[in-house]
Amino acid sequence: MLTCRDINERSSEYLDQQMSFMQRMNFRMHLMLCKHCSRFMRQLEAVVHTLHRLSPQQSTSEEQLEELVDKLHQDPQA
Amino acid sequence: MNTLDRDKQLVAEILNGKRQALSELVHLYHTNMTRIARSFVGDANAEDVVQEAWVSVVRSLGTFKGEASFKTWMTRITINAAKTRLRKEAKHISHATVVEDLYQDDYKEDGTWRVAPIPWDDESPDALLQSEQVLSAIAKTIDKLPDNQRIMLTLHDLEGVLMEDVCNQLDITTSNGRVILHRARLAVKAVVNKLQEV
Repeated sequence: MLTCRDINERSSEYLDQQMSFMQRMNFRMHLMLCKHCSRFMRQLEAVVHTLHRLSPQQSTSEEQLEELVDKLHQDPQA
Repeated sequence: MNTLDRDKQLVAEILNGKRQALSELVHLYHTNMTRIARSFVGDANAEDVVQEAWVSVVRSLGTFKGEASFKTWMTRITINAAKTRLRKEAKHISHATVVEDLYQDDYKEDGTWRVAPIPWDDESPDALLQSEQVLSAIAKTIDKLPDNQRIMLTLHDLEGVLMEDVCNQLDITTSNGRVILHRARLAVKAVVNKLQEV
């Protein structure tokens, strides 16, 4: 039987679908019975999905990018 | 046209000397390359590393076969450029195990919750993404993570690189990689949680 602590430790494995069918079933069973772990999982999942959707910050100006393109375009070894 | 076909077409046009295609490729991938480089070498050197990576990319475009996606190929080149920079500066990626247990106080000895997790106003990614405060806190937390956690989280969760590929690049086992990723995610979650308490 998984403890709440086990759920925490294995939560990324669950989210990343790295569990066997039986492990997944046991994990889900615990979530059905434990509202605290269920909340913990919803929150972790929200964080992970947020990370997946975070766009990188544009830190290079348009001018710098065009300078880079010029440099690469004129590279004699390219 | 799918991404792979578009990228193959851009590569073909660049090899034919079309500057516009090169510009399009740079605009498509530069920001992602910078985020990757930054996770290895920090803000100060990221732009230099990406420029070096672009030179390598353009010089070896003729060898791009299109078997893997251009993004995968370019990611590998960027990581190699970043690792070369670290080697030149005799810096190492810290693989130190995080000793402190982020959640040890949350559980009793029998493994049940000591203090239940607090509810969040909205547990959807959409809500988190709309909060400037949350996004800023997440960005700061990622910056402060130990090297290996920051790189793992950036490559796997932000850039979508496969776990096996990240572990190969960091020269660690997949099981170790999964622990590192989990620690990094918990650190980010802890910060979001703190904001909910206010």
